[in-house]
Amino acid sequence: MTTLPIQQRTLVQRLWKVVGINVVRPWVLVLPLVIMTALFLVTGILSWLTIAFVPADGQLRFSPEFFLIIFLFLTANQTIYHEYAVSLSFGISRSDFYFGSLLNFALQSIWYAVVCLSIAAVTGSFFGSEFSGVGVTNFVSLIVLFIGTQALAASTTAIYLRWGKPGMLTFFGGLALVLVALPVLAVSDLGSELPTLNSETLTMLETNVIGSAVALILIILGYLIIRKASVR
Amino acid sequence: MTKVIEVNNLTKSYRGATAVDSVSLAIEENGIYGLLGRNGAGKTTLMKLVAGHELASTGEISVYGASPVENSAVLANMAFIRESLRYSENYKIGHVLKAAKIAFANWDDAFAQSLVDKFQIPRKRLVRKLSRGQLSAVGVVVGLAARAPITILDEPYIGMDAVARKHFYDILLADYIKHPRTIVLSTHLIDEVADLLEHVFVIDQGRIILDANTEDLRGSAAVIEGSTESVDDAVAGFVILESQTIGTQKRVVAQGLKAEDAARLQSAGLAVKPATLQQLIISQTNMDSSEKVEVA
Amino acid sequence: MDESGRPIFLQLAEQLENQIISDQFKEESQVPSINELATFHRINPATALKAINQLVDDATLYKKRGIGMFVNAGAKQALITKHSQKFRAEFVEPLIIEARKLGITSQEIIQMLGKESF
Repeated sequence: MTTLPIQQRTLVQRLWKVVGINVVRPWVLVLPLVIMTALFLVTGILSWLTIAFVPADGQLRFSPEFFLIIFLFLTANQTIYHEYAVSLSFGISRSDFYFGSLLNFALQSIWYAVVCLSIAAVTGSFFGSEFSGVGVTNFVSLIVLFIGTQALAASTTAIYLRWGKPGMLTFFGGLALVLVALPVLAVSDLGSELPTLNSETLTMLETNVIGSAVALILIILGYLIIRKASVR
Repeated sequence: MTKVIEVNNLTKSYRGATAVDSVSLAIEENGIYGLLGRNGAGKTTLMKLVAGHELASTGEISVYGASPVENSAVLANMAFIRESLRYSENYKIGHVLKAAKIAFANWDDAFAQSLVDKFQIPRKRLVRKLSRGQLSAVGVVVGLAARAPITILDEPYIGMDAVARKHFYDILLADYIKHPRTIVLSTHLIDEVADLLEHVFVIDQGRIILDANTEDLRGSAAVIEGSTESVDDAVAGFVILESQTIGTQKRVVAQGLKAEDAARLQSAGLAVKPATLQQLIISQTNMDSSEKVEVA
Repeated sequence: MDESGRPIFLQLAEQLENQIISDQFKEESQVPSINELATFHRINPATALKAINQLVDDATLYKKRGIGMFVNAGAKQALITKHSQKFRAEFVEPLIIEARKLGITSQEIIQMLGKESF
């Protein structure tokens, strides 16, 4: 009887080999960690934002409805990312594509604002706080919130389209620093001296104005970035 | 003839690597143009620049007299179907055609539907799950049914089988005859499509090394075969594109032979045959690309 | 068209000439349009146009406005004369070159031709 040139390994060795093959790309281990961290961060940031920007006349608390914002962020991101190359191939300019997509986002924002207010009118709960009735201010602030979110998605996707992964990593690295720094500032003594972060001084109207300005800046930034992006 | 595309001293470099190098060319209205060259020669980059998908490092591009970059008026006249175009994740062929119908002013939907059947593109499968040849067919359907005054097709028949390629040539020609427009197609597979092309540009290492009317090109080079000594004597003074020797026999591809030259060489006992477009271009791209060859 | 690498318009013009000589296109009859020729031979219409233009320049074809291209009266005889001259250059001369290489005399060539019936 001839002996086999290579002897069979033990069961543990064989199984361990498979484990090794499974994680040849260590990214499969890192990715869930990244997602968990991101979820934790986003949840934290959203709850902090509700505390920081609570108008003087309400007690806004974090509530699950806020995940609609994450959903809108993702759909806006996917739309810009997936339709960009096809649209340009079909003879559409970057500016037309970008502002056309924003129009689509604005229409969606109006739709979701109506839905949110309708739900609030029935349940009496409005984004965690007691519902004060269907008013223009509520409507506007919802739209500003939704459009701002989608503008953030559009401009971050523009960064990806123009500078690829390195641009994305740089951007999110910077953003993470800011997001970590802000709550720290807010809870520290220093935070109480920043007027814009002091919830007691902000009315709903001022919140809307600041929010619109931020959204507008994001939109312009996104445009300046995407108009020089190439098609991969 | 009006020039619809003019490129002047165009260069595109990516971090030191030059993809398109000092290219100048002109494309006239209504014609089928071939952009030929090996993989990685710069074909796609040049097309992307012309379509405004990529921004030039230096030089000028004018389409209908204006820069195509972010120019909605110019871009509305263009369809640029890239070989590696990725359609949205969950698109089926129906979605692609719907989007194209919205985008293109001259879109012919009935024609598009008939092409889908002709190329047997599965309507129920996701576009990203189609085979390479079927994906190319999707590009051909969109590119032709768009009826865009400037239609740019990047490697349109890559991965197609022989039957589909034959369909493509026939449909392209028939539709071009019915709706004349400016069609630019790039390919690294020259032989089959050569007869359809009115004019060819050969690009090698980012440079245009040949810019000629296809018919002028066809008569312009010859394969000469005979004893080394007599071949060397005979071709003195002509541009030699390629030469091979076996024993005392030699074969050269020479450019610039006139009919009377060919007759003279033949009566001297040499075998003289016109070079095919494929032979001519292959020998061109093996050449040092620093020198642009003029065709009389 | 064929794979010889010769300009296609020359090949196409020659083919049309041969079709006129063999009465496939009779004098004063219509020949296919440029688009029909391009589609049939799978060639660029500009190339087909070039072939037709050459035949018009040679007075082989003439144009009836809005109708199409027609074979000229007397075109057949003119083409036969032209092709006979070409016959000498394309067939007889290479025959002589090859015969000389093999040491075949003109007498022997005539004998060979005598055995062929045509």
